[in-house]
Amino acid sequence: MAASSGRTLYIQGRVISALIKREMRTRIGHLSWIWLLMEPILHCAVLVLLFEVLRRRSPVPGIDSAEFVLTGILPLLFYQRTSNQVLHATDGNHSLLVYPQVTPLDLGIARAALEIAILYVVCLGFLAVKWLLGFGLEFSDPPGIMLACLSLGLIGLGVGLAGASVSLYVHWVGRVLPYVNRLIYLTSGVFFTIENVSGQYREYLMWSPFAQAVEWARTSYFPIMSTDYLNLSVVFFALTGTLCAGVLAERATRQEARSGNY
Amino acid sequence: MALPMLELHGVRKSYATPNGRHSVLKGVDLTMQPGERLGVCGLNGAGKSTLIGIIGGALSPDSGRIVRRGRISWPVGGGGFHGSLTGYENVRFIAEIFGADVRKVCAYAQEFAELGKFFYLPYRTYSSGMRGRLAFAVSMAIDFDTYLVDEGLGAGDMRFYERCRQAIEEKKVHSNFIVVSHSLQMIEELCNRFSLLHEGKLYVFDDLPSAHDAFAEVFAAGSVAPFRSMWKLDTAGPVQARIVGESDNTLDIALSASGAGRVIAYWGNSTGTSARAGDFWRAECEAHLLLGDASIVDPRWTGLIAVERDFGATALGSEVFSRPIATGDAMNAEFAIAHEDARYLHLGVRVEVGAPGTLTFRIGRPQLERRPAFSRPDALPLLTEVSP
Repeated sequence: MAASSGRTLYIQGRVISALIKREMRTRIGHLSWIWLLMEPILHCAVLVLLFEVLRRRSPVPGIDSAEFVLTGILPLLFYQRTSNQVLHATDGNHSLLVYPQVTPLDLGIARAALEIAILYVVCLGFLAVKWLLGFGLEFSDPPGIMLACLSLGLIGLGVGLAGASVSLYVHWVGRVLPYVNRLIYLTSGVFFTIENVSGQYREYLMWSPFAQAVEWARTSYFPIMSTDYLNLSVVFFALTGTLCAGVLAERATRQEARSGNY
Repeated sequence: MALPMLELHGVRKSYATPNGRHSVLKGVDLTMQPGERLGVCGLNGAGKSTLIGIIGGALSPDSGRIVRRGRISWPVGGGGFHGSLTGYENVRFIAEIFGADVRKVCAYAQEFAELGKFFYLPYRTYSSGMRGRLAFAVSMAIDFDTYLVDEGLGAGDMRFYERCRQAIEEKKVHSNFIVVSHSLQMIEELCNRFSLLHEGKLYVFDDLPSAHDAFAEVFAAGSVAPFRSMWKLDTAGPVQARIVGESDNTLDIALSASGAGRVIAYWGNSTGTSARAGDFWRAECEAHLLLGDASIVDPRWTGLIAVERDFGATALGSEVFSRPIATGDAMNAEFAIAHEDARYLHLGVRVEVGAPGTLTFRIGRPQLERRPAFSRPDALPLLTEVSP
């Protein structure tokens, strides 16, 4: 049994790596490398500009407002873009399900892996720009930044898988998710910290894994920023929950996802 | 005796539809020994692709047991290619997920599929014939113990079909084949065991004559809606066209006949393979069309048919042609054309009915055995049409 599950894992690894390569080719084929990276960069640029125009004052004294917004948007993009990509992974590659060893889970994992890799490259790009402009690169907890982003990406994978599975039966789910994501966007502390929020709303926000993960990324990024409200267990709970839900939902609906080919 | 390559025991499969569950396979049993090439025939919608999907492992049965030995291919011909990737990139992907030698597979597929520069162009630019060729070529490039071919040979011209036949011939010592097709002739040529999937059950025959009888019975049955594109024809035997299904604007026509020779339906300019201008063919047929219980027309033809223009190789995948019909249109049938060197005579049938509606034709691979060669007659060729 152990040998056969090892073999299954090996085949799944092979399939996922082939899918990632293929996904890269299709996406580069459409848009070229530059655009692949430019899309999230432009997204950030527009929001930073908007923020500068509207407010001009950083929510945390001593932190540049552009940098503050960026450290909120980028982690959140890990969630948002990954969940969106994974949500459409199956309908975009439906014909691949004729191969018995390719499952919707593999399609989702491949897309999530590629999306997360792209966003890490974008993050590195921003850091490189910062460095080239002559600023120092000092972080309070570099692995924390990466883990916060990764957690958001994996939550995106879970949500995307679950959403894709459910929308096989309830079609509007797939259409609603982008709006839900937008709501998440506005309530996750891209433009503020948990501390900035007053009263009962802060209570609510502390239960948001997205706001918590953004807070986690920021406090790991800015040495001068500290928080009394960070609660990592909310992030890990959401991460485990969404991933389990996504994987189970995919497993339960795999036959339905395949059936369109027959 | 060696262990069977494949065993199916009581395999059942149903799908959820808005009108409740639709049962496709109602207990299928099958044992395949090494060296078998099983043809699976059945009407459209009989569940052939579902069966082959279950055998391949992409679909799971609702119940039943499957034992697979050795490596099984995916159902070749059922898609699995990405339009914006090139043929090469698609082949690469398939080689990678099956853990095959990417370079070897690509080289073999490129050579076998004969796509030329198209191998490096996006798949969406391919004709249906080229798609079929590529799919079959990749599968042949990878070593499987059992190959599943799902209508994969229906597209592509005669020449490619011959190459496929040879490839199967070479591999048949070490590999098994399951060929799904609604072309009886293809199955006869490629397989050494024959099966019919009908109403959820698989009937397996070890010899051709017993298979024939069962096939004829199923395909001639008026109760089944889909149309079969190829059928047997006596030299002067009857061809029956019968309207078997009726929806708001579509009439499905089933044609059947018995005897030696083969006929394919073609429509308009959808002619196929290898006829040249100047060829002469003799055709004899009697056709009978029924609409409901009423016999509408009963035409009879006999005649020599002159091929007026060359017909090059074209893609011959299954296609549906429909045409609106006005009340009172006559029905007629035409039989025509083939090249003198060809093994097959390519015949056409055209049907027009005397009731409003749309005729639906499905066109398969045109194969028709050539009538004995005629020398060029002195007189102009005759095509006698007997008016209704």
